Order: sequence, then structure tokens, then C-alpha cells
Amino acid sequence: MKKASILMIIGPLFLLGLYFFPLWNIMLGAPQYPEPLGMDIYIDGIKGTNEFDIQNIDGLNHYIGMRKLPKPRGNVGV
Amino acid sequence: MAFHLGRLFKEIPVFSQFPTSGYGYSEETKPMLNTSFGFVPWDDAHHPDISRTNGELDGRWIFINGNNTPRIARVSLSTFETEEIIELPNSAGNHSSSFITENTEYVVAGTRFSVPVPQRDMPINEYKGNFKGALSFISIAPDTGRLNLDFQMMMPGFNYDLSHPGRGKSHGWFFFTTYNTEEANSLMEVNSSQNDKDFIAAVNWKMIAEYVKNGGGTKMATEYAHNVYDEHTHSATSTMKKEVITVDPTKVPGAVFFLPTPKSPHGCDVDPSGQYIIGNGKLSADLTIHSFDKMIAAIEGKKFDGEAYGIPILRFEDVLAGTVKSGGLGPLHTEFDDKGNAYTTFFISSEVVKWKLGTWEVLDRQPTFYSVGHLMIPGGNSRKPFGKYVVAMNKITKDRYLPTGPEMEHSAQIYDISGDKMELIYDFPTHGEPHYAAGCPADLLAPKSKKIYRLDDNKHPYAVTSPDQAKVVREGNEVHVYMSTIRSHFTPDNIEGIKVGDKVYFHITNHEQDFDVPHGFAMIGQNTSELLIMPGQTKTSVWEPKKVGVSAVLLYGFLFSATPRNARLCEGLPGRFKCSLNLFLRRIVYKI
Repeated sequence: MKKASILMIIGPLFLLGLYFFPLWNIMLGAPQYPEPLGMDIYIDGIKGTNEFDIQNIDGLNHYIGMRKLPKPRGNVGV
Repeated sequence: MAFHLGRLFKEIPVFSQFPTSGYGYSEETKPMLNTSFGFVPWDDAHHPDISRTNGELDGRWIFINGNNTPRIARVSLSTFETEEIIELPNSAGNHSSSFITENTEYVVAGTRFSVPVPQRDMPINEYKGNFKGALSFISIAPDTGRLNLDFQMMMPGFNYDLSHPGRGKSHGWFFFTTYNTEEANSLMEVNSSQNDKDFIAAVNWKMIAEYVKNGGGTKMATEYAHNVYDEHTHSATSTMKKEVITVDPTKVPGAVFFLPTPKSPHGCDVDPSGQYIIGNGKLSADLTIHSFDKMIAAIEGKKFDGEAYGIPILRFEDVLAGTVKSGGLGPLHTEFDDKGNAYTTFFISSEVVKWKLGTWEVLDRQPTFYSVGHLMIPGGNSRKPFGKYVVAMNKITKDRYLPTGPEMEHSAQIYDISGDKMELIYDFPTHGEPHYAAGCPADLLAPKSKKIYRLDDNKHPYAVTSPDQAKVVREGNEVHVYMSTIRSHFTPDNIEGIKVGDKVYFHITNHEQDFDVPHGFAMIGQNTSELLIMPGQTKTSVWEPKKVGVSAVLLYGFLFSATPRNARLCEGLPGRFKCSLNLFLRRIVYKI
């Protein structure tokens, strides 16, 4: 098999990782938040780094008229 | 009780109402200040002491005594809130308190003044021989910290001034200084200073506890309040107890002895090894140090020098380990470093004197400003002192700071004691008279300091855990408002139909689950204080409207807007939070 074909087969396999690992991680730090708020964006939803991070990010977003974050993943950080 | 080291970290209300947080004003915390005399919203706090494991500070709780209406309090060192207060019967001036035994088995509290037990009307000149000095042993549950007045020893009617537990080899004993062994009742400065020596009472509390456990002691009818705050219901309850076990020390032979100690000893301090018991003779220029080993030998040899009310008196020469000839005047209190040195305050000569345990030689002396009382080395009354600094607490401040009218805050001073010579490194005015302090390294407390209360763990009967549970319930002229608050609104935010003559209970639950986001609540003209509600907590504020239409829109009789009046975090878009939000947005960091 050609090298390109092998890559074409193996490459997409890496995408399976999306079902287990976050696509993206956002950490929000400020002097008032010495322990930064954070969220992991998974293919099936968003999860807070710590238990109440999503709620607290929503609370802050509320001040500037942003909507609540969509679709939390699992039951964490409702 | 204040937490600081020149910089104030936190003020914790214990025996006093505190408008900053609403402690003692909120419906949940009013029971904390209940006593057998009713609601007593102040006291005279004296000696904080931190819980211990194997004689070393463990940072679970801090205890403190109320001197005036005898009480002992336990404060949590994870929430920094007062969790429990127990009143002490048969006591008058709860001063030789509140000191903690080696493994936090007991918090011990001795009465400063003796009184008739049980209390009765009697002529004061019949004091001698008829009064009793109660030493209270309050057990501490190892897991919850709950207090229980296990027993009271009814000692002869002297004054029990200060105390400390034995440690290490002397663990199981407790030592109390006494004065007015003359049992005088008039011209006290003269008549209670006639004896050349008063006593240090050595009490084998393990022996007494065992005696009580086996059914010893006498049940006595009395009345005292026991107030407990529950972190989960966010509420306190007050129970009136009706009985206490009293112990006559002469009924437990071998448990109590008197060690003659010169001239009205004040501080009663035990060194980290537990070998030396130091009596700081107020009216003497010297310090008297007793040896625990010698005391035990004298007891075993039955070398007694008479007795007082059936309690054997040991011979001074038999128990004396040494004397510190310091040249200072008015020794009060002694603490210890981790290098075998002791530090004693001298009230009259205004100084801290450093001396060596064992050789009794004076190594250094530094002036204080002025009239120093207690001093504190972190862990300096435990088996493991952290001997880097000593804090001296003064009773007079005079020209130290800018004048502020006839009344000034008093001064405390920090000395670096890591070298051979003590060095004054900082002095600062502190609130009230800084009586005594307890200190420990910050890393014992900081990691377990609570950040929020979990909303899903809130067991308050009036809590609302989701805004859609918010409601207003009328029961006759009582109105209960089940209210939630989160940045930046209350639910419900408009309440109609409240009438003059109603009693309105606002039960407010803070729905934040974020560190340091408390919310305040107060009503105009309210005859109580503001409340400060921590994240996940519920507190209740009572409002009895007296006027119709006060600065609010009148609609169907009454409509009001809840007016948060917390300077720290106002509802709406609070200034402080606006700032933090801006910074916040600017500092967004993306990373994979």
C-alpha cells in the first residue's frame, strides 16, 4: 500500500479520540480568580474544569448579556 | 476574636453581636448568645487556644472563654465561624480558661472567683470556708468537636487565676495558679496578699475522669445553656441543661496537690517537655519553677507539709526546680521557643525577658510599650513551638500612635527571636485590649479553609435550592418569604400585600457557588442588622414594617423593593465586580 493510503486509514482513527478527550480547553484567569475558571469542550458538550466552573462562567457572562453556555456534558457543573 | 499579624485577616464574632455578618442578629444565630440569664450579646474574651494532637497544634478548632458570663466557645478553623458555646454553672469570672489538653480530650475552665455552691443568699463575711472554686472539664468529641460539661471539681474557695495542661511526661495533669488563699473578702489588695505563698494546684484529671466514668461524683441540679451551630442547617439551637456532675477532690485521694508558690502567682505555664511548671508571681520579682519529676517523687514519698481543706500541700523545697532572678518587676506570663528558652512578660517594668530553661540565667531583655500582659509564640504553649517570633500584647499605648481622644486602641509588638537577641520588628495598634493570642503557621489552616457551602448540602428548613421554589407564604400576620439570590437579583423581586403589623421573615439563600461572593440583605428601618449570606448559605432576617409606603411604591397596601445595603457587594452590577469582569475579559487565555 502506498504511504498516502496508510495515512488516510490511520489519520481518521485519531479522530476517535474526540469521543474521549476535549476538543478545546479554555482557562480564564484573573487576580480575583487565583484558581482560574476553566472548561473543556467535548464533542458532546461542555464540562467545567472544576465542579462549579460552568455555573460561575454563566454567572459572569450574565453581566454582559451573554446566553448560558449550551449543553453541559454529563451532570457536572450544571 | 481577630485573626491578624499586624494585618487584620478576619474578625470572628463569638460572644458578641456583629452587624457586619448579622451574627447574633439573624434568626439562625440568635440562639448562640442564649444563657441561663437570657440573651447576653457580649462578653470579655480572654484566652484562645488551638486544638492539639499529641500536644502539637493541629488547626482543627480554636477555643476561647467568655470571662463575664462564664462561657466557652469553639470556633471552626475551616469556616472561621463560632460553632458552639457552652455556659458554665457555679462559676464567677471564667478566667483560668480555655486551655486544651494534649489530645484535645478536654477544654478546661476554672473560675476566677469562688462562690457559694449552690448559689444562695449569704453574708460575704462568711465567705471563708463556705465558698467553692469550680474547675470545669468540658470533653470534646474527637470527630465533631461537640462539647459536654463532663464534671466540675469543687475546690476550696480560692481564686483560680490561670492554668495550663501538663504535656509529654506530665500529660494527664493540669496546673492552676491560685491567689487569695487567705479567702479575704475586703481590701483585697492587702488582705488577699498576707500569705507569703499561694499555691499552684496540680490536678490529675485522668484520675478524676476515670472516677467520674465509674460512677463517681454527685449530680447537682443547676441550669446552663448549650448552644450548637450546625453548618448544614446553617442554624443554631440552644438547649438548657439541668444537671452537672460535681466532684469533691478529697474523695479522690492522690488526684489533687498544692504546690506552694510565692506571692499571688498569675501565669501558670508548662514548658514543651512537660517537666517545668512556671509560676509567675505577680508580687514577686522572681519566677518560681517547679519540677514535675520532683513533684511526683514528693507525692510518692508522701512528703506533705500539712493540708488545706483536706488537700495535701507539698513542701516548697521538695518541688522547686529553680528560680529566675530577673531583676524585672511584675512577671505575668511565660511562653517557650524550640531551643530551650523561655520568654516572660513583666507588667511593671514593661519588658520581655528571655531566659534559659534549666540554668535559669537571663539571656536578654527588651522593653515593651507599655505595661505588657500576655505574650505569644506560635505553638509556644504546646509541645512544638515555632520559635521565630513573639508577639507581646500591651495594656497601655500612650504616645505610640496618633491620639484618638481619651480612648485608644492598645498596642501589640512583634519581636524576631530567631537570633540571640530579641529584635523589635513591628508594632501596631489592635482592637480593644489584646488580651492573649494563639498562633500557628498559616499552612496549617490555609489549605482547608472553606471556600463555599454546597447548595446541594443545604439542610435549612427554609432554603430554596432553585429559584423556581421561591415563594411567599402567609400564616396569619406572619409572612415567610422563601427567597433566592444570585448575581444580580433576588427571586422574588417584587412582593405585594405586606401590611403594617405583619412580621416578615426573609429566608434568603445565596445560590452562588463561587469563592468570596457573599450577598447582603437589609430593609429600610429594620430593627436588626444587615445579613451577609455566604455562597450556598441560608439566613433569615425579620422585618416588622412600621410605616406605609417608605421610599417604595405603594401598591395594594404595600410594595417594597428589597434593598441590599452591603458596601462590599451590592446587588445589581456591583462596582467591585464590574472591575473584576473587565480584567477578566482582558485576561482570557486560550490553550489546548
